[in-house]
Amino acid sequence: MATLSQVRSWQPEALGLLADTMVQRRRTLVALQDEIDDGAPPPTWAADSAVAAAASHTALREDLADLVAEVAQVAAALDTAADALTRAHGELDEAASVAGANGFTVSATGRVTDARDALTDAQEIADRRAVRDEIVDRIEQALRNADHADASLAAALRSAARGVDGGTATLAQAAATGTTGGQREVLPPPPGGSDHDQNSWWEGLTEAEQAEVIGEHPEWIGNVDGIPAWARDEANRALIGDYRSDLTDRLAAAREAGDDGLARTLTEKLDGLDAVEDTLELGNRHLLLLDITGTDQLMAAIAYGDVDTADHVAVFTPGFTTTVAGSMAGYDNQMADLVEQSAAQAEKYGDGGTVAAVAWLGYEAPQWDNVLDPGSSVATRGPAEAGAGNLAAFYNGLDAARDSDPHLTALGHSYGSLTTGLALQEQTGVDDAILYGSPGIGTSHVEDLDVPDGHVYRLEARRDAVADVGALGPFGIDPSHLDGITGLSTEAGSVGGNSYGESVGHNDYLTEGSMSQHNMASIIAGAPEQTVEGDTRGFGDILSWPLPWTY
Amino acid sequence: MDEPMDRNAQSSSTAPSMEQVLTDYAAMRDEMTSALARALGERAWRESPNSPGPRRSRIGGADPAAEQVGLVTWSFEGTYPADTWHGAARLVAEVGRAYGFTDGGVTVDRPGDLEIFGVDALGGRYTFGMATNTILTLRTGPLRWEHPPEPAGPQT
Repeated sequence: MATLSQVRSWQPEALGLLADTMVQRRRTLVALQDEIDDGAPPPTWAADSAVAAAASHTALREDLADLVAEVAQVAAALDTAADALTRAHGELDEAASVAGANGFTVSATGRVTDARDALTDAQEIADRRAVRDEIVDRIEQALRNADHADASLAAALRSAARGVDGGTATLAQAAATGTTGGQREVLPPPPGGSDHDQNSWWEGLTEAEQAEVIGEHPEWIGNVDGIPAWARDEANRALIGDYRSDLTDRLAAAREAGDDGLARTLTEKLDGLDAVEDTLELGNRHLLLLDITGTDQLMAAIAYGDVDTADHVAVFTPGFTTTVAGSMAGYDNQMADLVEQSAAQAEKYGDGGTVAAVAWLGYEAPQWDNVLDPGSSVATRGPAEAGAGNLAAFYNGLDAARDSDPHLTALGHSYGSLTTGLALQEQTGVDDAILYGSPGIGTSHVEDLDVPDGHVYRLEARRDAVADVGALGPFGIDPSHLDGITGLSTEAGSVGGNSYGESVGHNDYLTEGSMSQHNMASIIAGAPEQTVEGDTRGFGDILSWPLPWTY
Repeated sequence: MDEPMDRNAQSSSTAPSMEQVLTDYAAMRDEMTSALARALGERAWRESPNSPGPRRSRIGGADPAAEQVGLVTWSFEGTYPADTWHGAARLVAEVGRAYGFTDGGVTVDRPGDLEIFGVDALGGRYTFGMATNTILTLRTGPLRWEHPPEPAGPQT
């Protein structure tokens, strides 16, 4: 692979100028079409010499067509290489910028060094290692992109040198043939690459290549973290028809085989596709995830607003009994409401931030049907553990797809707060976490979460029995008793002139005009000073009080 | 002005269409800002740059085909003079009542921050607030379209 200093020395501008020159030559040659047509022997020429003249003219025309194709191929290859190398340089600049802003240095050979030394705090060491990995990933992928550009250009030049068949039609068609030959093969995303690898791969493609990937290989990027939301959205939408056909065919086969269980699962997935399409047709949404490969359920994530550009992004993870078919519309509505309210408040208070929110139904949430199945029961950590890795990757991908990190808030409700809590035990870019109606977050120690101190919040409404059952399961202690977690009010109240309603039970936390919704919107909008703290405790919290030596 | 429809008097079986209600709300919003202009002077109302745009949602429930629409937030930079805020809120509420909204209440009332809201019988809601800037938001309750909009394509 080319080294950093080698790639830095490559001059895409020079390649671009050369490409422009070759394009001019190609145009000059293509403009000879009329002349070559006029030079053809007239049909009234009937002597023996006419046959030789026609053969000579044909040879001349075909030689010219070959030349046009060769010139066009070289022009296209130079243009693509110039574009790709410009993008690779941009990625290297971006990596250098991230390095500089975070106190790292990048040597001429690409070695990344932490300028700070003697770090002792484990969390800080882990955070800086993550930043370093991001810089390294971006540099490596930029070098791979540059290598691919170089190899593709060399292949196109060698091919042109061997000769290109321009065909027997017009010179314009010969030029089109050559231009196609000058396009490089688009490589698929790096298998097993990090979200930063994926993003650098994507940014290394020319616009035409990105369009080609979306049009011809949408499955490459639809669910890949680190790819911009707009591209994932277009890719996933393009796949809906194929997925529907596939599920419909399999449903017919299942019915024919008398497999009622499978038929129910496939019907549920098809209903989920309907729910996804119904939501998308409302507009201003991005389909960030669509996965039909789950054992029991369709998985999907829909963003309201633009997560690529919003100042504040929230990701909501729901829990027990959630399905795409039955729950997407309601959760999408709640996210849209949160965004709308946060944006209006931002306008009123003049802090100007834009907001986007994602309903992430990207794991197979436990269902009543599975309640006795040890692998997927709501009484176990299994479903949450299966989803947590994907959720953590999703958080990281939102950051990786952008030039600047958003203020990122993780919302977890009910069993979804367990999934969220487990995800947050991995390295993520989450700035605030709100866990509500939570039976447990997968740990009894809030410092296990990779969230800045003081930025983990919990809400529990009166008569929310689910929020007290955690002590009965392997989810960690009841979050009501966690040290270091800030309780937010769910009660009706008027504080500083603000009047809000109470939330009661397990499913009213996002009711419009409620204290709990106001508190969540304030955290999402980066205005924690507008929250109202509170600590709703009921009889269940007394029962779930942990004994100090047991956790 | 056109006679606004009295939505409180209508049963759910004769609920107006989304188109009718949006037309009505737009007229109400114009009348609210006109009333404010007459009393307190013209202001440069415009669509809020922070607003995510007109928002359509399906909220499920009894009528799966019903939608809720949030209009683009209207705002202007700055506010009316502080000593006129409660008068401004009364004007807005008065226009709201003429369009079938009841006074929902006061969300915030403290120095430098005032916000009121009104609700109608179909679940619609407006808010009018002033702090650093002035906002006027409107959203409908769950309603059916007479002619549903074309499905939206990818967000650009």
